[in-house]
Amino acid sequence: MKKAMLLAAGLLVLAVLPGCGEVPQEAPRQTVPAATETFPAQQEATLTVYVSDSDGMHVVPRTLKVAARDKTVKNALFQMIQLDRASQYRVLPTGLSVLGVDVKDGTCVIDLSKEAKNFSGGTTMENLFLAMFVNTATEFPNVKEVTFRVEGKELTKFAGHYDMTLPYKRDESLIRMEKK
Amino acid sequence: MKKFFLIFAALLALLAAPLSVSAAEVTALRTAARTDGDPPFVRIVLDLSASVKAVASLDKSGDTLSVTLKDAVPASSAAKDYAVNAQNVRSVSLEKDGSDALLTVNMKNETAMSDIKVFALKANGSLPQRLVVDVPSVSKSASSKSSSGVKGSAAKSSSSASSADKKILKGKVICIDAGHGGSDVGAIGTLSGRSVYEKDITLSIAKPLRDMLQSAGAKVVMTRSTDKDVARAYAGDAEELQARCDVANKAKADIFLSIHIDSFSNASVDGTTAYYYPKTGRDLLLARALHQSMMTNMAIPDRGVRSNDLYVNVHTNMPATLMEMGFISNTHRLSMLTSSWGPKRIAESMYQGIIDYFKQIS
Repeated sequence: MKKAMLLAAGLLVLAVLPGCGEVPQEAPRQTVPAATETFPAQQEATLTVYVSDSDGMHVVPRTLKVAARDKTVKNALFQMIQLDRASQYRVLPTGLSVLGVDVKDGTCVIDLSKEAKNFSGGTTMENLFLAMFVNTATEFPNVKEVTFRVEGKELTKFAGHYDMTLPYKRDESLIRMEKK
Repeated sequence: MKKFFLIFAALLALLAAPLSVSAAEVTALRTAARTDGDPPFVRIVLDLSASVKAVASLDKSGDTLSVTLKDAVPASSAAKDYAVNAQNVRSVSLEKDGSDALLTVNMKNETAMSDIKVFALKANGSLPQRLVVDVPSVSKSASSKSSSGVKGSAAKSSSSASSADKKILKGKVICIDAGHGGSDVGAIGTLSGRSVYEKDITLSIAKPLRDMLQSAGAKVVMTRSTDKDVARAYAGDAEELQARCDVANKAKADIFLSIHIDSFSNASVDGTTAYYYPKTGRDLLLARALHQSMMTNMAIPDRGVRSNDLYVNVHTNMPATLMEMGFISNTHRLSMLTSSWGPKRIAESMYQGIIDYFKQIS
């Protein structure tokens, strides 16, 4: 019996691992309201933004007082990112910022910084990502749906559960109101 | 060297890097027993100061693996014999061999080269370039019991792959989708300092489930049965997920089950979720049956049955459920998910849920 046979294949696997996180960069605080938005005349306004709850089942609203001129989608998203960054239960990649917001015919196009490509996680994380951005943006009556870009390009590759090139509508089943 | 029949050599060109004048140094060697492969394996990792060429060969008895690292020297602290606690591995040693470094792995049983993996890892963050050698940690006889499936893995629930089950599953086509794969590792967990990929766990559940269903007479279609992309490497999410739906749609499957492992930043969170998209009138029914079986058969927190637009649930033509089988970010769950028994237990509960679903609609 000839036992000397062989098999053996050398495989060369180049594991391409995601790079390490970048140094967080602050999004510039917007002071000039976007031309497409209108504001009530009063000095102070309320922003409602959504962040994850502790078990990741829902997002919860956080209300902030801002100057009326800062009641913009972009500022709301900026505040949301700040709250997420400070949270124990973070959802967003380190260093993520919103490069631009464009609202046209009810569709809000959110242009994310390149850190969006570092996003990974289970369905829970992807659900929360959508719930945070979409519910925060659709707090503005002129926003009916939200679509994403990364550095101006379509978000074709994300966490592998959703087609992130599609527009997403508000989903209140993902919002948990807190007991007063 | 005569008594060693070096039969086949695997040539490894490690990562393009400038040729350095001085020899590469093997600065450290680590071993770890891994249970997330089938069969379980021992991973041997060599840290390198520079790229090397490596040649792996197995002697004719199939129990001694030699890996020669060309023009490399083991650091004095790394050149020694290593103790390994694994059924199939007797010893691991690293030594200087002329101008090369020689890694020798003595195994207790004959092992096929096809069960041994040798590959390179790029430098990443604080980790240097590495050469990785995976050898099966259980003997062939022990591993074949679990991997050849059919009888061994069917275990309890399908020992009742009773005539009743067979009757229910007769003629049924079931599409099983092991979530992620290939270039998409899915969520990443950490256990004892090493990374664990969702893609590997989902496959370790899908395979025994396939075996159980097949042995009970169902036709099973897998979107993937190895670690690969279904569409192509680095495809966009929609393209990759559509390729998985295409497999089920072309096979005209009766049901589609996508297996996933969840993750969240709060490590104490755990539980199972059944996701569906109401499109056929029976999507919720399937999700409930699978969820209920998980709740009945497993000790895992309940995160409910939820509806949303997950791609595979929307774009399959048949009732579909995406099951999140616990959190990779939860250490307790992760050790269960990477154990020899955990994935099989989950597969058994999915098997039971599928039987329950078909019972309800028949």
